[in-house]
Amino acid sequence: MSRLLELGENILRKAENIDDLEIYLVTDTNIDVGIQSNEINMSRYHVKEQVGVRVLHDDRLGFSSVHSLDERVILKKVKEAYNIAKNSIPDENNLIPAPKKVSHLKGIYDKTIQDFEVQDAVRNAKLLLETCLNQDDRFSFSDGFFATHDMQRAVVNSRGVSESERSSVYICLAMGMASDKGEISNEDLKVGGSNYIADIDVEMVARELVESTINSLGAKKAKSFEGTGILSPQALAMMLFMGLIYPLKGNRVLRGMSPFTDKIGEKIAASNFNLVDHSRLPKGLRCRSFDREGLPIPKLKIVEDGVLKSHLHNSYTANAMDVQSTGHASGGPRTIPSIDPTNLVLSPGNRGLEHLISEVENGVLINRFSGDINPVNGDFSGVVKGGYMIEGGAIKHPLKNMMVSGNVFDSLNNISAISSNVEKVASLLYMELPYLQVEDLSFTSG
Amino acid sequence: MKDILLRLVEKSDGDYIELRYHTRDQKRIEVVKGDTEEVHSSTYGGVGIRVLVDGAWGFSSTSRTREEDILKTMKSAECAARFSAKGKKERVEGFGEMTPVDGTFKARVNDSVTNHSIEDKVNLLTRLDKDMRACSDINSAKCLWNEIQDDKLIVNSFGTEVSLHDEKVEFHTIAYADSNGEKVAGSESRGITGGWKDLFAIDPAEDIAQKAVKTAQQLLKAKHPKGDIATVVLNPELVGLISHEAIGHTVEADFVQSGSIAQGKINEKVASELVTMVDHGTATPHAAGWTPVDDEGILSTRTEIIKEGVLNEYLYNMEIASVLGGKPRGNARAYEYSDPPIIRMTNTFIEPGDHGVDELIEETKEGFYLEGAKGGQADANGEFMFGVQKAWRIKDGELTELLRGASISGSGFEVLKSIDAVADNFEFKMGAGYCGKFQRAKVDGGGPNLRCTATVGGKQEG
Repeated sequence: MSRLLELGENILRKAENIDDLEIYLVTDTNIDVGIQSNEINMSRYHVKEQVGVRVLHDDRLGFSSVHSLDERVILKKVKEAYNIAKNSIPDENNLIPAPKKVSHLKGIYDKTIQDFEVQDAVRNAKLLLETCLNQDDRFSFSDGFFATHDMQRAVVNSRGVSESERSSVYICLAMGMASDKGEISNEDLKVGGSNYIADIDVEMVARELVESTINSLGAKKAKSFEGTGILSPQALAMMLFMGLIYPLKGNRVLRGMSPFTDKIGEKIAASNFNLVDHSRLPKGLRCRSFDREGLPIPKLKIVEDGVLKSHLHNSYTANAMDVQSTGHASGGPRTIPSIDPTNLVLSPGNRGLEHLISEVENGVLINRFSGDINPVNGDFSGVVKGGYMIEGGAIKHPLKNMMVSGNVFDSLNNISAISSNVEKVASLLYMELPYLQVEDLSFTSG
Repeated sequence: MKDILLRLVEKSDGDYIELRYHTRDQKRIEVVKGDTEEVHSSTYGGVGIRVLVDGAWGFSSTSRTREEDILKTMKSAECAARFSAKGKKERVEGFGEMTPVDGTFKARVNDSVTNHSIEDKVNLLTRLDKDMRACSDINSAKCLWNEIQDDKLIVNSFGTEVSLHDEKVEFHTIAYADSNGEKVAGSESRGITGGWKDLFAIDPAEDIAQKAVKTAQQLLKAKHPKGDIATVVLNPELVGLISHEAIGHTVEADFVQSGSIAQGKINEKVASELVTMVDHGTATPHAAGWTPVDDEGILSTRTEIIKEGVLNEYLYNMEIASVLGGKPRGNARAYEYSDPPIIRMTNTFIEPGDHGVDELIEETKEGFYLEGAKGGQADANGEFMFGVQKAWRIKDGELTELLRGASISGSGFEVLKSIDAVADNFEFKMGAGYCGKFQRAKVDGGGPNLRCTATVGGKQEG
């Protein structure tokens, strides 16, 4: 039994007067080497110990959290959560879940992380920085890091859930821009991540970043128009997926804030749109054996052939909507379980990106999107970053001062092609996405 | 605790060390459509230690507060710094002698939110949520309360011994309207440094919630604008956001060193002479970015970023101020004990001018009056973008129809150069949100209404 699990079980025993109690415990040993302004900036080493306590009392919810693994401190927090619960509003849908069989994942913990030291992280950060700087004099590295996390988490509850897991993450992020003869390119960022040190390629992250910023030099303005957008996996993640994921969450559906409330079994996207949440995706950065409540996370078809198959649920929303939890309780020990996907996979099409571009008469290749998405109605509006003008089936020039507007839900139905090329996007979520060709987007030139 | 920290300063092998003991008590309540989605109380605290060894920085933190645990953490920070030094091309040379600060700082609080029970707050939010949902076209609502009590002890090698107590509170209301398949949301929020009476000093909670309702009801009937370059009149919230996103980030000295658009532009004209832009941690006691002393122990003083249209000064920490010959003015901030201090804004604003507020619109033949900020970002090249809650079309000096789904974009300095009128009103209006730069920071921003030219994003035909 892991140390965290043992501590959690001890707390449960000592707080047996509380009927419905959940303890979520996390430790994270983190090394982080920062890079700033073309130079190694600061090395950090932390060990974080956090506990979240959820109590239900007569259907009333109380939650409390603390940065400590001291048993006496945690017991005080249990009492505090209980007192909060006594003053909350009763809600019959509140639920601490009963256990379900969890099959533990292999391949998410690289034991070598225990011997990975600050100096190893400095070496990787230096490789990331120098690969960037040696590639092109015009490139400037603004911010980034190389970091590792050796994480243990455990969840126990008074209904018998008792799960723990250890995972490792190696992650690097690089941001920078190119400048030439007074012109400054768009700032771009690239992220690389893996559970295993052997699988993270910091040099590739560096090369892709420099190439992207250098290529975006020489940007020109274009006229405003309505037309086709080809969204890179990164742009797709930021534009459409941010707007799509929010209304899929059970709590949004439950509160009437989602257009997908009564849409299970209905067409919400083009018929070639197939989206899956895969918690055990090989090399997926958000793989896990159980969710924030200790429940298994079966592979979930979200959209199949354009038809909505499922929302995402934790125990609360599932109970309220009289369905089974999909195992998507998420979040850390500092908040009550929220809802998030794990690894999202959008099925590729059968034609390459080049083919997609060759069929666009007037359009924009959008590499990155910086903008605002209305989570309620799906309207989005923002700036095209690292974009290219496409005319007559060919890329003409890098774009500047171009805004793009549209609606997430209209765009899902206006998908005219999906590429066979797939790229990994590691940001707040982990996704494997193709390029998407979308019609009827509004482009406004500044 | 202070004695422990001071003893460790003496024991450190570093050329410079700062130790910060930071505890935070946070209460957060969220009521959505009649249900309490969240009621929680968290306590987190510990010691963050930053040390300069061999010309390189190391940082480490611990939530354990026994002296031997803090000593071990200090050794980890020193070790991390030594390894950093091996990866660096240029060493940090130090930053001269800083004047030590010895003092106690307390937020000015009128009726601390801790005087009010969690039950009172849950009841307030539940009542407002119910009242909002009783309004026509409103099918769902959300009310969120977030309060933070911070206590810090900061000591460093210069002899600084600072004790700080801070209280910040946020209150958000969102009304969701739904009619004939159209869904919109209207929001109204407040965020301040201070207590209950400070938070509701101008508008009582009920009025704030009803403003969110009115916005949602109005937006339900609104159309989308056609995207174009346009004359726009911005309200104080948007002026704050433009100051923060489009200019503020580009003058943070770490971004300047990385090649931001503001690099090399000190003493250059970057804005209309009507513009004086300031960052100041103690501009007013109740602005959400109130920071009397930063996490390097530097007292807050006023930075005139732009003085009558001319770029005047960057925002520094001690290290980069020394390299670039500037003066640190209290902008090195850390969000939690486990974060190192980095350069952040505090309260960023444009000074009021002498134009009448109403005249800005009356003099405009065609354009938009923009109210209410949504998400925003900016690049180091100064290109910014943010969403706007309400866009009123101006026609022949009058507000005509309301439009929704608009966003504005432009190049920060170009937009500032286009300013042709600055009104004589002033308000801080950004306190409910946070700034993100690898770690969070509570900031505020504002200014007067002003008129400029920017790209308004919207729909194109055919």
